Amino acid sequence: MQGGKILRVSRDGSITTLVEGLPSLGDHHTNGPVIREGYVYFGQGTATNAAVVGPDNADYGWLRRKPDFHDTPCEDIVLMGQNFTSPNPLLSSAAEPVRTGAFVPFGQATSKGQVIKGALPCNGSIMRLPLQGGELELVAWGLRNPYGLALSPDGELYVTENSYDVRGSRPVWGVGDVLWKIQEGSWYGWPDFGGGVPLSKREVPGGEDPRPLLERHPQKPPRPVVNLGVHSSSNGLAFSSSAAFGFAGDAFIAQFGDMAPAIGKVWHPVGYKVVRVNTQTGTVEDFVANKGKRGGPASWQKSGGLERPISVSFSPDGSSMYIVDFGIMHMDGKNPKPLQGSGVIWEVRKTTTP
Amino acid sequence: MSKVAAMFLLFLSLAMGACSARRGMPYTQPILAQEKGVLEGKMLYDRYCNSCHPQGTSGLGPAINNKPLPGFMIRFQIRHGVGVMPAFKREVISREESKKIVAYLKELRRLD
Ligand code: HEC
Repeated sequence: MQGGKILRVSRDGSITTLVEGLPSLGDHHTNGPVIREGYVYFGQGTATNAAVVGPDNADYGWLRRKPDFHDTPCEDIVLMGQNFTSPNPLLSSAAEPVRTGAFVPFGQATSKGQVIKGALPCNGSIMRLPLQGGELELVAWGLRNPYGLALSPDGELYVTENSYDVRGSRPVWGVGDVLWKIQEGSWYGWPDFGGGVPLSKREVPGGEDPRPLLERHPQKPPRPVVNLGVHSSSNGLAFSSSAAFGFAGDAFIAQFGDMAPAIGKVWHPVGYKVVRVNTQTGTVEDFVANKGKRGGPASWQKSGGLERPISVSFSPDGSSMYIVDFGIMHMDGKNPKPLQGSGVIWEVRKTTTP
Repeated sequence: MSKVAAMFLLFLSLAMGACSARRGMPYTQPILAQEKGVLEGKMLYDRYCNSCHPQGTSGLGPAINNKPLPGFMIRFQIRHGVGVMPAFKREVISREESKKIVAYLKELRRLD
């Protein structure tokens, strides 16, 4: 595995690589693409949950394959020098615990004032490339896992961000996924903010909030368009642009659903539906969701219906919505168990009778 | 734990047994037809509360659209964050704003 690539496939079947070696060897992959004004935009997730490589990354499988992999910031950052002590899953269980800092390989400690050089490509970012190939450019950074990218009917770039999990050396509890409107050049707060709010400023009784990793923050992050369920895994994004479907200008988000208990505990299944966001008021409503008192995925409700919607898009004339439903994926403790042959593509159209 | 918090928790655990809530059926039109205060309450709710109680139902936190919590208790919960819920200071959610959130939650409950 060499990392993410962006490929151009031409009509005659020829394939050109526009960029390769993207830093997607960790927890999160390369996402997108969206094309606007001669550029292809794409998202690149972070290597880790909260900037510190830890035993959770061994559970995910990549730490043993790539023991030196870690997050790369897009611009130079200065560290507070916080280090986190954890068991060493690369050695036997009897091995000494190790100390790991932020934005460095597993087992490497950092010090106060240490500078980590920014570089492109980087993690937790949206980047772009000219369609015919060329230099990578930074669009936005400080995004944990910028998953679904889409243009609104008025040409603005929006992205869904998957937020923190309660796992690893720097677990973060209670921060929901969000929808952002992207302002070019902005920093969105990872790994010290969640949904635009400092992690250290929240009052979580009993729990100790994560302290900042960065000595200075590039800016105060913007405010999200909307806050979505914690662990909802708000992924695919598309805008309605037509009266034939309705809700023109609203954003639709496919929520894959939680991966509890691997990412943290939940009271009730979260996500497993498609929600509609009014980007003007910042309000959210269920749009396609299973009926019934229990809610949640069809296999859990023991009914038909949505399981794990992951992607959503509209037909070119805007009259139909299509939802890619990943299908059944139960969590067997820490391990996801996808069920072959359970995926579905749904089509949603406006009807005259409600 | 203070006595008032302990009593509050007792009340919560009694309330937990209440009937389970509507889920998964949008009531967009009724909410949108509401007066300004309720709409503002929804905007505030979606900013500060929705991530843990999605549309009033349970998620990371318990459901709050299915139990007869009086307004002052909801406002107490917002300000003091009983249990593992984070507290919201007055600078974050003002008194007027917390009243609007309560108005919205009452409307949700009425529709359920
Ligand atoms: C970070 C997650 C989180 C956020 C944000 C949050 N809550 Fe909570 N809430 C919880 C949890 C968890 C509980 C259960 C607390 C316990 O019993 O330990 C809870 C409990 C409650 C209860 C009591 C429910 C019962 O069973 O009686 C109310 C009322 C409530 N929340 C309202 C709100 C309101 C209003 C907001 C927004 C201002 C809000 N919450 C924001 C997590 C959250």
